[in-house]
Amino acid sequence: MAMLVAGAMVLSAVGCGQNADSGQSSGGQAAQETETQAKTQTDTQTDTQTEAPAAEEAAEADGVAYPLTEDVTLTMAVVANAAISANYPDISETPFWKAWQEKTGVKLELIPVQDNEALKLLFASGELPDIIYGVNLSTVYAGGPSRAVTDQVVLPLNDYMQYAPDLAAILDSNENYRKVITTEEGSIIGFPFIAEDEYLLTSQGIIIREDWLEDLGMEKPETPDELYEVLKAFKEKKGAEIPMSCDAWAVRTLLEYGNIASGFGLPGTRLYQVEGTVHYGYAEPEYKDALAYMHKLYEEGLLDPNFATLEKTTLYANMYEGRTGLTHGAAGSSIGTYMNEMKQTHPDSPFSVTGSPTLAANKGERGIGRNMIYPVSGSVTFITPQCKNIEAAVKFLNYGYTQEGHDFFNFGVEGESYTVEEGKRIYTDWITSNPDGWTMQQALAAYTRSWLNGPFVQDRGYMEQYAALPQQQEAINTWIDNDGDQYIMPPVTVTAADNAEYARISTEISTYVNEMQIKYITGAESLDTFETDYLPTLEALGVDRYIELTQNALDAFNAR
Amino acid sequence: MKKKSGSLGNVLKKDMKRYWQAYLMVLPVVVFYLLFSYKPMYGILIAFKDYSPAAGVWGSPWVGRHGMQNFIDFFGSYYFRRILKNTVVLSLSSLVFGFPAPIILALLLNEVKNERFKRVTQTISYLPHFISLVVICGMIKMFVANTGIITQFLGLFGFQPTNLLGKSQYFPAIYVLSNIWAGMGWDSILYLSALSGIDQDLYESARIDGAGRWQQTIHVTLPGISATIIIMLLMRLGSLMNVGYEKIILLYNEGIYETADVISTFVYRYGLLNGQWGYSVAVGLFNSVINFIIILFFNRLSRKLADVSLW
Repeated sequence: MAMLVAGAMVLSAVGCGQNADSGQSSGGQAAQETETQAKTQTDTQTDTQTEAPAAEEAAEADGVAYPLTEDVTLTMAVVANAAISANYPDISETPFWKAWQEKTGVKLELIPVQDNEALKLLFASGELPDIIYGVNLSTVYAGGPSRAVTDQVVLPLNDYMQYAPDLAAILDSNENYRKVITTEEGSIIGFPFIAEDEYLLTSQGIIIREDWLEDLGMEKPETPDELYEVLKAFKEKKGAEIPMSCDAWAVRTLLEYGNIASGFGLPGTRLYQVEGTVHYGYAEPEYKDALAYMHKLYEEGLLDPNFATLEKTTLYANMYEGRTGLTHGAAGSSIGTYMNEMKQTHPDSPFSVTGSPTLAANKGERGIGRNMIYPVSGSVTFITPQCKNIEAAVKFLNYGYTQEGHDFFNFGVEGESYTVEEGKRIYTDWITSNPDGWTMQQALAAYTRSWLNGPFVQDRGYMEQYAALPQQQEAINTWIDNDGDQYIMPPVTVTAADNAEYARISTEISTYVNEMQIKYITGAESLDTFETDYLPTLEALGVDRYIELTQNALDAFNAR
Repeated sequence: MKKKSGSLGNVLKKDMKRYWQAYLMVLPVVVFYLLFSYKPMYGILIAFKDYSPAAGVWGSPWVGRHGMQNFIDFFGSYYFRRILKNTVVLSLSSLVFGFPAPIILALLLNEVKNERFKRVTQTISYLPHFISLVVICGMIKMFVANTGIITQFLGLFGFQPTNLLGKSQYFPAIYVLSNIWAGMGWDSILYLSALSGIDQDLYESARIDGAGRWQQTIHVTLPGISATIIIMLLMRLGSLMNVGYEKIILLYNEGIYETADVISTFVYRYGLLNGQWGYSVAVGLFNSVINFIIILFFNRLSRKLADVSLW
């Protein structure tokens, strides 16, 4: 049985080789040898084989024709996501994964990976599937993309781009796209997730109870002082015990992406760039002012006293029970969840939340922080060197960049998850108000990947319908109304040679800054030590080298 | 010397022939340990290497400074002293406060004459053992939040209510006390069974000699279970440096790393979260070596002093 399968796989590889690039000499010879072998097994082939020549000609004429005619089975690792596993314990039962196989004619053996940690163990095991779906190598692989290539975890696509004409066309349309998926050494690492529209790049920010603001006759806070006044009013006049409820991650994000830090002239505490020069916000003097402010909020009971250990469920409860008027979150999953939950449980409540702008130092100025991702996130779907049928895998993953694939990844299956009305793709009721009470994200997860990532270009229509409430649309428009985009770093990669050092320094530094951030905010450490202790320690941990290595990577990126 | 080992081989051969059933029965256990405890030790090599999955354990290049780079980095790390100190503090305080707790509970229960009360107490005390650690830690977090029951109780004594897990100075106490609460009842079962094995005649003769209950406890009960106590202590010492990292990971947060971050959580973060395999194996190996030294030392000590030992 195993022999038969192996034979079939060899055969399919051959078919593929011929159709896409029949002129290659060595490949052609090898193909002939195996072909005679394969002939003895023709009985195992289905009748698709007889239709193959016609399809192959079409493929040569204009790109790749789907479904592929050969009989291919590929293994693919997919990191589990709660939105899917909530309703589909077996991921291969999901309509999306079934339809993708039907449309491309490729059989998939899905290997569910529990989480990123499990994925790291998979890498460490050295036994890899053919494809790994949608992961950010900079975060899941120690040493990043360059090292993943030299460690033979990632197969560079440079020699196979001819099998992905639709991806190639998109990469040619914007030089930055190609830069992001190319390592320092010039390897193309995989199939990127691209969001072209500005509206899609920012999905998080400050969230505020606008009905309270209205009651109090206050405007959305635009400066740190205004934010303070609003929180105080929430506490005193609205009875909010915890006017601002955030977990440690949310507090960090508000500072890292500048939503609050911007009010002190800091685009964010993460790595950012000012016209090509790299800065590290955690080591900038303005950070101290932002910390002092956060500490004040904490001291006066405006910021959640439990933020260091807060669980998401508690945050939600705080929101629903009116203990909180301000938090951090996403337009889709946070505002949408809050609004829907309140609509169901308290239909008469005036409860309404929306986005609040990035703070500016002075009234009337524009903020300089934005919780924004780069148009090409670092997330790629990639092929591993252990893949036996590379051409088929490349063609398979090219599908998402075709027009048909674009619709499929963003909207799912026509007639089931979307319909076309006046040229627009509209999600069906099954998606927007699911009969089984699934959240919209869960319903989207069944049919599409637009809510997460993958090898395709994200469509604005997804976000417009996903965050369809006026509050959600207002939130996104509020969050992008600032100059924060100028400071965003592209996802740069450090050379393989520098990587071990870079990884070590960055973990030591991030452990330290995260720890100190909580200590400064809670007052466990006095801010007087900022200059005498904190900054010198950062220096001792190698922050200068950290910035230098990032600068080199950015320079190389810009020069690519 | 040679002759002796030869004869040992012969003895073994004969023995195997004679009791082959017994050897057959022990075989799965031996295979288990070879496969799951000894074979993985080969992986320790990556502590000295720049591990690359594609090259494999053996094929990966050695790191600099004669393969010691990972160790040098660790000993020179900003966090080395801190995690070593925390490991020692947490494990020693768990030992000092946590080890006697089940013994005391067992002794107390042993003195209780009301069977019903004894049963109920015992059941209640080992209930937490059956609750998943994740749930236990969730409960602890709630209890010590600023509005939690423990924090509020402390507030009665003028304590400023604050999130106790947000302040580093309280972590060791929370860790040790919750360990005792969750583990004491279950651990006491072993001692209770040892207690039931003590010859009742000894108590009778002690009573005839005029010993009160306290004296009976000191002179009959404790010596009766001392062998069990020492063996348990030795086994505990063997994992002295293995602080229960699952629990710490569930409880800690970045704000209290200062007292909560230990070697095993450090290894977890560097190895599993950041994928720095070689480095984290080096740190873990350092931990194991210290454990090994500790158990060797105490085993010898106990053999000398009490004539009880693991081997």
